[in-house]
Amino acid sequence: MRCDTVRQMLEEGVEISPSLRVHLDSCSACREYLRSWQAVRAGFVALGVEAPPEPSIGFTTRVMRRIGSAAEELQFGQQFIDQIGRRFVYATLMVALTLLLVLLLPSSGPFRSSGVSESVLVQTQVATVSNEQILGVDGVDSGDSAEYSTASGRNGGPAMRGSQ
Amino acid sequence: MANSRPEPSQEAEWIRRCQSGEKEAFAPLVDAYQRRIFAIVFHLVRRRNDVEDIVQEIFMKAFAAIESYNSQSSFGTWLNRIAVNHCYDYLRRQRSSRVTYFAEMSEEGQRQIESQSQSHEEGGLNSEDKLAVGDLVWKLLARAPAEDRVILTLKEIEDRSVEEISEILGLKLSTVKVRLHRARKRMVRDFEKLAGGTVSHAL
Repeated sequence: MRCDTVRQMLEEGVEISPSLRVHLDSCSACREYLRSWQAVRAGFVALGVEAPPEPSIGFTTRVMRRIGSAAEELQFGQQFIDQIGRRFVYATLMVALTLLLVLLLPSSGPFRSSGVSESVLVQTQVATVSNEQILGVDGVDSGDSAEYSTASGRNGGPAMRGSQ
Repeated sequence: MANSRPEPSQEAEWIRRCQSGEKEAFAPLVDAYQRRIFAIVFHLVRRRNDVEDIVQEIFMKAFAAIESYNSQSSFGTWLNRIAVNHCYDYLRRQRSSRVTYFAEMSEEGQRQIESQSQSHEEGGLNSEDKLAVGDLVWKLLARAPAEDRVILTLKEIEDRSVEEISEILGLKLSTVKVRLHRARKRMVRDFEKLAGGTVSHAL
């Protein structure tokens, strides 16, 4: 007989048969296990003797009240979803859809005319040309830039190249 | 507070009415089963102050789930299953927030329990000693994994049959037997660690 089988039998409180007795006589570990198990068992019995607490007066009423209030909360939750929650969901969906359309629309097309972007380009070119004139790239300053270079030249500024 | 077992036909009628949304029909079921649930919760949790709140939660869960009750097992067994599962979750939450199994305890914690156990070692076991052993076993049980604690409580304290336990826990008979043996072995091992065999010799 294997020790584990013997121990399982001892735990279940089976009557000690002659074969079990032979094993116990020859196996001190199983004898020790039996003693320890009996002590643990006595502890369990002692625990079982202690009486559980009694339900206090009005226990059922309190349970039913809690069940009632839980049902009301559930009902309120459902009403909220029906009345406000659904509208909120629709509004959120609309916002999300609008954002999606804005992101998906092409940069040119019927909703974004190319004229707008072209006029912006023209303005940029004009601005670039006038800046070049102001800095005197072609060696001839305009009147305003001459005044500016003279004034700067007196201060030893960057327009010294124009006075040379 | 009736608490006597209702007639099966009467019980079936209350259940049917609850399932059709009549919540008042649940009150006699609470009356009939509250003591049994108090006992099982107390044996599993063993905190007198918490028992009533836990039992209330169990009955609320049972009412919320009563539509799913299909008479395959008795209403009592079904309710016991809800109670055990609820306590199991409670114990797991407790376990995760506290020091647990003896083997996992700090040396200081082990010494504390050992000193309590050794104070009861000398001499034979009279009724006081048995209470002390009960206290010691409880301390070990409190630190056992929730799975061990549930199965040992049902078998050794509630004195339920393996068949009943298998129905309550929704496990095969063979699984219950294996788990029970494993849990008992673990208890004996930890008991021997604590008492050094002296208490068991006194028995």
